[in-house]
Amino acid sequence: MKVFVTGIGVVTALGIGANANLKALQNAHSGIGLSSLLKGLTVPTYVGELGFTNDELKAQLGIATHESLPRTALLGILAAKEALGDTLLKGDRSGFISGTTVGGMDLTENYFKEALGEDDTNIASVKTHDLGTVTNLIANYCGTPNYVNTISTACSSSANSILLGARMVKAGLLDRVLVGGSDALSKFTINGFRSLMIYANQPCKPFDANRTGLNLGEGAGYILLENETSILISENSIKAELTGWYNANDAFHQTGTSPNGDGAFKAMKGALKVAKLTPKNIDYINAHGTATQNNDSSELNALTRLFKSQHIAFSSTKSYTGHTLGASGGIEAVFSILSLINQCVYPILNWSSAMDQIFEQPVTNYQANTKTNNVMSNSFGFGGNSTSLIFSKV
Amino acid sequence: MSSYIYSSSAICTIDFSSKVDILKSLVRIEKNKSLHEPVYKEFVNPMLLRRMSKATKMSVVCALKCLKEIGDANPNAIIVGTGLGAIIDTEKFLTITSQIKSSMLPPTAFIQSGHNSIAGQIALLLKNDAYNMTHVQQGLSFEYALKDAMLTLQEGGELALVGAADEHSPLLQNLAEKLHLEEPVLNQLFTGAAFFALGSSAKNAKAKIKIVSICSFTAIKSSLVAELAKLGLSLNNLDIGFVGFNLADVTLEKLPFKLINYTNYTGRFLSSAAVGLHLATHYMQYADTYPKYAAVINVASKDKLGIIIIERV
Repeated sequence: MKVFVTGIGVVTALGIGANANLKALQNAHSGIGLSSLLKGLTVPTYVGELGFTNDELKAQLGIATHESLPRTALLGILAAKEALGDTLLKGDRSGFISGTTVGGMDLTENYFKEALGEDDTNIASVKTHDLGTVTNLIANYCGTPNYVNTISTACSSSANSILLGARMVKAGLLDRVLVGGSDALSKFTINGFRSLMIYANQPCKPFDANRTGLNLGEGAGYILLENETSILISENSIKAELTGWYNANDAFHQTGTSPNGDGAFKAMKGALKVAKLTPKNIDYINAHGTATQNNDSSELNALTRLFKSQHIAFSSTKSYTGHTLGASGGIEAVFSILSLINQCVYPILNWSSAMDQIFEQPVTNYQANTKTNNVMSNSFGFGGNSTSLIFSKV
Repeated sequence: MSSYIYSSSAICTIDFSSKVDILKSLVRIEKNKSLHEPVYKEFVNPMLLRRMSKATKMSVVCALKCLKEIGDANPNAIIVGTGLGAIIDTEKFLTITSQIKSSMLPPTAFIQSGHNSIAGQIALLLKNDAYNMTHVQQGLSFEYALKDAMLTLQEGGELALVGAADEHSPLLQNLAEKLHLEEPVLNQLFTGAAFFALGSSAKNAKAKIKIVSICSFTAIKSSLVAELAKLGLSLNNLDIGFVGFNLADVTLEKLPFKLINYTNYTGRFLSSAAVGLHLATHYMQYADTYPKYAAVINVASKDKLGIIIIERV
C-alpha cells in the first residue's frame, strides 16, 4: 500500500503558511532574531519566534480571547487547517497523530511562577499542560477522527508521528491520517538547553566549524497522508509520496549522540531500505543540523559513512527557523516536500568555514530548477532517538 | 498475526510475588497507599539509579524482569506509554529556574523531564538500537503503545517490549485539590508501572491478546458487546472483567461476569490499564478457577474507552 502526501501546512518564524515559508527559504531570509514576545527571559535570547501574540493568533482563527489555549495548540491549529484544506477526518479509518514536547508548558510555567507567589488565579491553565490534551485541542479543528494520538520522543517527535502514520496506512489500519507536530517557545526549554550549555548567544551556524550551539524556534508542520482508496474519495491532488521511514536508537548517552552517529546511520540506512532506494538516489538531505558541536559532527560522520565519496546536496533549515524541537520533523517534512514540488534546494545560512571532516560542504546558494526526485529528512532527539524519512516526487 | 504475552511485570500497590489467586489479597488503595517495590539496586547500578526519575526507575526494573524471565532476549522494539511523563522532574526544573537567577543551571532535572527518558533509558541499559517509541495520550497512552507493539510484530518483529508508567507527586495532589476533583478520585491518585514482553509464538506464552480497542462510548456494555462480536464472542464468554477509572467515573451496567474495579486497589493514574493488564494476566495463570477470557476495561474519560481482551493459552 503506497502512502501519498496530499496536504501540507506549516507555521514557523518565517511566517504562516507554505507560501510564506517557501518564499523566505528561496530568498535566504532567516526568521531568527532576539525574542520580543516571550516574557520573563533573563537575558536577550536569539530565537525563531513567530511574530504574533497569542491573542493575534486567536483572532486569526476566530477563537475568543478569553479561551485558554496553549500556544502549541494555536500554532498547531493553523498548520493543521492548512494541511487539511477541505478534507475532514472522520471515523475509524481516519487518524490524527501529533508530535510535541512542550505541550501546554507556556501556560503552566506562567501559572507556576504565580503559584510560587501564592496566586492561584490562573490555575485552570494547568488543565492543558499535558501533551495529549494539546493534541485533542488541535484535533477539534480536524473533524472527528477515532484515532487521536500523541508521540513524544524529544526532537524527533513529529518525524515519528509521520513514521507511525505511514506504518498504519501501509498496514491497512488507516486510510488517511494527519501527521506532524507542534511546539511553542517556552522558558522551560530555553532554560533547559541553556543548562546543557548548548544554547548559542548568536544566530546558529549549522555545520560550521565555528558553530556555538542552537537557537530554539517555534512552529508547527503537518502533512496529510492518504492511501489510493482515500484519494478516490477526497479527490485531493498528490503532492509527493512518502517512500521511506525508519527509527533506530543510538543507545549511547541520554542527551549526546555517538561520535560515529550510529543511530543516525542506522535510521538513514533503514529508511533507504524501506523506500527500496540506494544512497545515489537521494538528491537532497534536509539534515537535522542543530548547530551543536555534538549533533553536527556526529550527523556528518553518519552521512560520510553512508554516502561515502558521493556528491550530496545537504543543508539545515534550522538556520532559518531555529530548532523547533518536537515540531521540527513536521516542519522539515513540509520543507522537503516543497523542495520536490518546486524543484529547488535551500541554502544553509550563517555558514563560512568547513568542519574538519571528509564530506561535501553544505549547500550555500539557492538552487533552482534542480532534478530533485528523492529528499531525505533527518530528526534526532535526546534518548538516542533517531528517525529518517524519505519523500519522493510523484 | 497473533500477539502473545511472554512475560509481564508490574510495580504498584499490589504484591504479585505469590503464585496464587490474586483476588484474595487485594487491599483498597485508601488503606494501602504504598508501592510494593523491589530492591532497585539488585537490578540496576546504584550510580545509574540516582539519575533516574521514579517512573524511569520503576519502568527499567519492570522491563529487565520481563526480559530476564525469557532468557534476557533483546527486543526489536521498546515502546512506552505515559500520560504525564516525568512530572516530578518537570516540577523540579520549573522550581530551579524560578528560583535560581544565575545562568549556570543544573541540567539533570531537565534531561530527565523528557517524556521519552523512560524508553531512552531502557535502550541505553540494554544497548538496544531498535525501534524506540513513546506514546502520550492521556488515559489511553498504554493502549496506543500496546497497539504499536502489536503492529511491530505484524511487521515481522520477533519481540516487543511494551509498558507504561506514571508517577504521582505532592504537587499533583495539591493541584487536584485546588481544581476540586471529587472523591473517590482525590484519594485514589497514585503511581504505577507495568511492562510486557510480546511475541507472536504461542509457545510458553502466558496469554494471547485477542483485541486492543479504543472506542468512543456512551455505555460500557454496548461497547464491550461490539468488540466481543469482532472476535465471534459474546458477553457470556467473558469470565472476568477488570475495570479501571482514570478521572471520570461512569455508571457500570450489570454484566454477566465477575467485575473487579481494579483502580480501587492500584490507585488511579493515566496509564493504569497497563497494571490492569498485568493483573488480568496474573489472574489467568494463578486463579483457582480456569478462566478462558478476561477483559481489561479502561474508562479513560467520559467518552473514551480502552478495551483489551486476553485469552488463556
